[in-house]
Amino acid sequence: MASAGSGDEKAAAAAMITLISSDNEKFEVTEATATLSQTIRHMIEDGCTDGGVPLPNVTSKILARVIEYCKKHATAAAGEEGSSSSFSDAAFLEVDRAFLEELEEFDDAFLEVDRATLFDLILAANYLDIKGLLNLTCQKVADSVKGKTPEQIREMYNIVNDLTPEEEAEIRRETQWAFE
Amino acid sequence: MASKRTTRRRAGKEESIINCLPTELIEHVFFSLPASCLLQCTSVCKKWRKIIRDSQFALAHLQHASSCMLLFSPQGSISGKLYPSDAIIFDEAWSPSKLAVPVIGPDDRICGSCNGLLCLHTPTSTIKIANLATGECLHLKKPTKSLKDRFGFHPATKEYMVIHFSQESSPLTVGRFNVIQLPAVDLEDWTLCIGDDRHYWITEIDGKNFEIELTKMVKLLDLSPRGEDGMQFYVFVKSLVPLDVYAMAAIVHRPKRFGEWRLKKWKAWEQERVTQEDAWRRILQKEHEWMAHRGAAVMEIKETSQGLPDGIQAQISMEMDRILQHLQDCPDQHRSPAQQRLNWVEMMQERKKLSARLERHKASFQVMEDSLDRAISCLSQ
Repeated sequence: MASAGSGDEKAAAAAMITLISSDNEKFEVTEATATLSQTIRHMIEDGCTDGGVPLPNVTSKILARVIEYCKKHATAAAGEEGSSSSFSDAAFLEVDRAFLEELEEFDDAFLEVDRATLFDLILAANYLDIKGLLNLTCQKVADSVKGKTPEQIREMYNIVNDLTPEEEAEIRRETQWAFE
Repeated sequence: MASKRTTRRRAGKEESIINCLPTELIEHVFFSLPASCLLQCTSVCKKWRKIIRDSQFALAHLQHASSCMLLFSPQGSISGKLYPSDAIIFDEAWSPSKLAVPVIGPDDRICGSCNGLLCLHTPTSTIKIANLATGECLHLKKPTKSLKDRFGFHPATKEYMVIHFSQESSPLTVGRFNVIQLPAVDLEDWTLCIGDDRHYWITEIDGKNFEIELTKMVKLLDLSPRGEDGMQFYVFVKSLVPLDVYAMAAIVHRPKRFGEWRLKKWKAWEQERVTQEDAWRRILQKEHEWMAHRGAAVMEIKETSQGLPDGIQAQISMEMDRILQHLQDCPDQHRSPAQQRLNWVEMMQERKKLSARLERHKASFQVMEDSLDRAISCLSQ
């Protein structure tokens, strides 16, 4: 809202946002890309993005990945809007499906990262409040846990088993159905 | 024990990457896991157990859990044979769940289902509230005079309620115990389509949170010998809703021992299961004998026919080959399941397989007989 109605020049300038990572690297992105993050959207609405948006919780390495995600998803969203007005329903559905398939492929490829990066992405998605990215990354972690035994999970994520033998016995009693 | 200690030592040095996340994000990860998986996860560490067994988390998790269908058939007598009450949960893939339902007693009836809890009317003395996914159950005192009971929740007070009716449409007493809320399950959403006498398929019309691929929707269920009478369908969510927290608010008996439930319920069926297993064993043994004896006999006939004129020899050889072929058709690989228990859908499936197998043997016997007859008539010519 702040960007609109105060002259063409300002609107054009406001269409680009500068994001500053924790290690002081600057990233210039379009407003459409940046506003996938609710956190940044609110900052834009409050008109406090002049001179760049400092993101002290996100490193340049992670921010670059996050921006890659946002760019792709912002384009897809824009493409869908555009296509809805210029195609017939059937054609629209076709285009829609192509977009979704492409997005899915992108997401799959996007998640091919090491574990540390994945968890950094979760934290960044949470901090920047990007719902799609948060769901995507959390799902990836959930999938890694699915179908594993507690011992395998502890092994995989380096978790200390701090349960007392009494607690373990109690859990076994509680969950005997689940183990059948 | 030894392996646990090594894990402890090894992991002790550095903090786990997943447990460094704030609790809300760990919960976010857990939301997309099914209840059965989460129950396993409770024994990973204290932190996970605390998060998963939290009643607020259970509530939030419910909203992410996908619905499945619960098919309940009350106790009934079909041609003089008494079948215990039973319930089957169909998961997303439409396969009868292995997580069958030992908590349901032989003569229980379902009064209602919400949030993954079932309210069961147990004729002997109690109303039973059970979470089928976790196996927890609570026993509530039943009023002396009650025609029927209904189970639900009150969205405003956020309480679960068991409503007792002493006569049609006038509530006698309302027993409530503390609560968690979820959208009410509307049974009207479900339709039961009847294919013929004994086959059904089930579809949903207005599936809230319920998606089934079209290809899976027409899966036929053979529910014989149980008829559609009294068959009940519920939309069901495998939930983690804990019951122990409500123990103080309700009039509660301690649940009976788990083992006894199972024994009592399945004792009646044990005999039938044993008979079925026995039939399979006998069939497999016979098949084995056929393969050995008949195979040898056929080879012998072929050998002795060597001396005969070419035309007859070729014909006999052909008939014998046909017999051999049928012998080889008898597949030898039937797994004999060491099942702990059978639910009645599985039981029916087994029975169907058994009779199909017998039919096939009958058919191949017929073919073999015919071949043999033709071979003999060749010889006598």
